[in-house]
Amino acid sequence: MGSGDRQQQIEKRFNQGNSHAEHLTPGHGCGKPEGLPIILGNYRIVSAGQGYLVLHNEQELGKYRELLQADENRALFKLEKGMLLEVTPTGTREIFTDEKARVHGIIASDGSLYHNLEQRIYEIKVACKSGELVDMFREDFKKVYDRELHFSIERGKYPKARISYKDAFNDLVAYGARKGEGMWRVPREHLDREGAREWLKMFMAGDGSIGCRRGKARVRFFSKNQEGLEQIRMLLDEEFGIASKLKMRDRTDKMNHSSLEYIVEVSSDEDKVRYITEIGSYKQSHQENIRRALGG
Amino acid sequence: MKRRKQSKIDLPSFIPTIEISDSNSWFWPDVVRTAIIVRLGEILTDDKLKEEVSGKGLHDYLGFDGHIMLSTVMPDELLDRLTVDGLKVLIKDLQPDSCMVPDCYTYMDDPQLMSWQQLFKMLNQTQELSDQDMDIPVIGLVKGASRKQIIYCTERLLKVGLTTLAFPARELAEAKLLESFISNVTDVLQEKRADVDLIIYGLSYPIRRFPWRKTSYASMSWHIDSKYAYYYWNGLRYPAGHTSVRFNTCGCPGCKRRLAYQVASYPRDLAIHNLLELEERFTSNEEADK
Repeated sequence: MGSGDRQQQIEKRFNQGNSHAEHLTPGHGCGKPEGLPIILGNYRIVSAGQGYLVLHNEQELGKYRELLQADENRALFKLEKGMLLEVTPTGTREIFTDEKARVHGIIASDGSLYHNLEQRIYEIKVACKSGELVDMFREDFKKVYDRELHFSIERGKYPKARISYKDAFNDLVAYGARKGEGMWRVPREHLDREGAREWLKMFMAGDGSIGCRRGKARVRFFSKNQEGLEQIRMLLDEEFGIASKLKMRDRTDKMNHSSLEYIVEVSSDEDKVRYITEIGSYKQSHQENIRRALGG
Repeated sequence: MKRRKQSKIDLPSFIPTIEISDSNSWFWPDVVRTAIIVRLGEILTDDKLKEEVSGKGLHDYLGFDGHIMLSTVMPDELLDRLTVDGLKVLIKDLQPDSCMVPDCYTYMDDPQLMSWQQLFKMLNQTQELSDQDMDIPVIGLVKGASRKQIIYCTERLLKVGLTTLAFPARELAEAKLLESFISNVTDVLQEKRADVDLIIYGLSYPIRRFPWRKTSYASMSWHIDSKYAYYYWNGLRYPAGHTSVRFNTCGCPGCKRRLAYQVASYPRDLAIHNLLELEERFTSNEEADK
């Protein structure tokens, strides 16, 4: 192996982008658990200096400084840029923290990524009607990428938060928050159940609707991205057992500007209740509708 | 430097790389192919597997009659421990039909001294292996962190008299460096009018209008994707439950006219389907290039 970039190679293999684990400082996680070593199938986690060593079939997989969670089913290590390394008896994978799942979700719905190579602009922007969502995005972004976003409200426009930051831009693009309208994808392989919930909750807040008519809820996601909505449909089904249907709506206007929109609608009443109780939305108006639908 | 011309290996346009520890990637006898690649790194990291395979030899262990190529592309820490003598012992035990020379690591963000050291080490090992009249063909690896290193490496490998050269392409493609790497290699080959075959290792899509006729591709994505229930169709990759493909029926030896989402429950069958679909891409690209 070993072509291209060493830093990239290390990031990919050891997930941390730092090959000098002996220089790592103790983390702020749960502290060293007493049950070390932790055995998860062919994986063994042992204490190593100020961090932890993960072994697979007794071969070193990597060193990590913070162990956030460890039980008989899985162990979670903190990585860089809002990522976690999940170790289970069946394998390892990188998953999103709740904050990163929310950042990704809001960019897919109400955000955009803009890149101009000549002017060296790598802009990440979120603009939405609900100020609370923009505030939430700013807080989450700070936690994930350790950068403050510029916040502004222009007259007649929605509140927006934006930043030009190459590292975060490239990171988000790598995880499927694509450039251009309707070009995102669900980062399914990086979402555990919690991450999936946060991602859906945030996407729903941006481009979804939870309505309540005669005490019955209506749960829908909207987008021009058919592929992305198909992935949402599958995520709902696989992770939460919620059945939904993908539909198409022609929104051609009077001026004959053709525009197709796709909708994922949760089908049965039982699944709607399951959606609003297990997932929900971060938008206040949605939460009010949920309360009404649940008879609160 | 001595020049001994090696005999040529007859390679198909796509060589499937298999996972020796996962029999779901063993596609034979349902599909007959002339060559496969086995990764030495996988054997070296599992002592039990190593013992078992060394005892039987790769052909008997896998029950595969075709050409088995041993790949030395492996993690850096394993490469540091691999010597020519060690590799010779492994070749004797494993009995592959061809073997790559010990790989090296040449990173662009390392000081150039380090990549030159690695390159010299690899080229000296290549020379050593070539001098020792191996029973099997040796495949040279083209590496380099700069244009100068790539050109130097290619020229040295040609001088040794190797007839098949390979280069790991995955990381180069990810860093968008593959095109310039290839042009550096093929420039030398064209200039020297070399009669060599190339293997692009770790790439699951063909390069259009590739500037060298005798090229094979090798990758394991067909098997890796089947583990995650991805279904290949018309040159694209879908989750098997995706509405575009879930009710798709295919008559290949893997699918046997079952629906895509049904095949997804059988990783070996899905791997066979993906392999055949992937091969189709390489074959059609070859025809388009002609």
